Amino acid sequence: MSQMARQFSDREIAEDILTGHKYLANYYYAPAILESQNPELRSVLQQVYSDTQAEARQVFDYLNSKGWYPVKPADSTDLTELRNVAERSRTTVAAITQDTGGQIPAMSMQQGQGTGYQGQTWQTGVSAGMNPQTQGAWQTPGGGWQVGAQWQAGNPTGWTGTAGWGGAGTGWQTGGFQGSAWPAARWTGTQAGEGQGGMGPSSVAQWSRWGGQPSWTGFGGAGYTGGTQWPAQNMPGWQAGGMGRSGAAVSGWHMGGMPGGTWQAGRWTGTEAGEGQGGMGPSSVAQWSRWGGQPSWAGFGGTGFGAGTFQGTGEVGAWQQSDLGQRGGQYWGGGQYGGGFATGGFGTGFGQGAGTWYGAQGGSYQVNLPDWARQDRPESGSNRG
Amino acid sequence: MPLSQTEAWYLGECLKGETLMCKKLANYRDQIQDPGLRQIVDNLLSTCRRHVDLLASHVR
Repeated sequence: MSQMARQFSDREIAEDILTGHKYLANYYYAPAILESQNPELRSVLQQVYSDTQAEARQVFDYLNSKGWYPVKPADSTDLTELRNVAERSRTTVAAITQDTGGQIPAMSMQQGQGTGYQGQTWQTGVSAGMNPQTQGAWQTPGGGWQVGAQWQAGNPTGWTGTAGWGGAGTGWQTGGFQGSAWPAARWTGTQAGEGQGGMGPSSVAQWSRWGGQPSWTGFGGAGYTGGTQWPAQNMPGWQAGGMGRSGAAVSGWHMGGMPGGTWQAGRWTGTEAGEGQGGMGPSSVAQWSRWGGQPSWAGFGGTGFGAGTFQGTGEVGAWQQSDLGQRGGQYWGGGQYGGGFATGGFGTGFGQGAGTWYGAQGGSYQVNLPDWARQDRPESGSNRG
Repeated sequence: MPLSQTEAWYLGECLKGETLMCKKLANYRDQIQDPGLRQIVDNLLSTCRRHVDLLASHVR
């Protein structure tokens, strides 16, 4: 009994008060605030919570001043690890929000805002996972999948790899080059969701799904705004070289085929399921919902292609040239034009040849899907990302 | 606006917690040797009492 009657020491009292305040703050007021719907009650709880924290600090300071609550500095190992964590976090967040002013690219794309290619450097629009070297099948040499073209209105000097190119924006599955001809672009995205355009929440979702290796490629980058036709006077050199001059790359439109260097009619790449819409926008958002965050839009331009994601342009150029090599003048970009990434791939769903959308939706194909694009053909699946 | 079931529950728990804290502070106050700590506890006791009144005012 004598033990029970013993008075507490000042230290014990202070420690108990501190413990009590911590408990009140963490287990009473914090959840109560979160659960409160009544604005007045919530306000009161917040005030009490704040008071409790301030009181706890008073007691803490008292204990600390007495040496009863020593605070040890973190050791160097902990700090090193912390710095690594901070750097990773910073990189991750920066990649997500890069060049978007903190906004998700999907919602903020405008002409010239893309990050695909600026100057002579591909900016990484996303993360290391977007590096072509770590990409998936879409970059397979000879596979026929090309990065989207570098469209840059207002660059009459041609595709010389100078600043201002529209970069290969994240998310554009480009048109394929099957063999040496321009048979037709094909949608590289599949029901698995590859090939969505742009960088946005869906992209983030894919990182998660694919472990940081999304397969989009293609258009994007600076310089192209959905719905804007390329001014003929601004068409760069690739145009004269065989790409025709229609320049009718409107958001969501096929560039149209160009066999023989002649433009065929461009056409809307979008389909009933919404594939092929250009850029990042509400429609894209709708697709996320529809496809569980795995849109497969494609098509040129459109607000929002951008958020370029390629680095290591040399490698990009290499594989791109594997198919584009003979297409002098029909490609713009890298290998041929100094940027290290010969592109010329049209956006996903761009029917290079016939201007037909070849996108597949949920395993079903649209009408006019050519044989080569049929998913049930063994070789057709090999090029999908 | 009437309180929800969750709000009422939390409000009751917070009142109980503050009340218990008040009791402890009042008890401790008489045991404390250090005037500095006693001053702190006096302040805490005052605030605690105010909190109880504030919380109780929402129980109608």
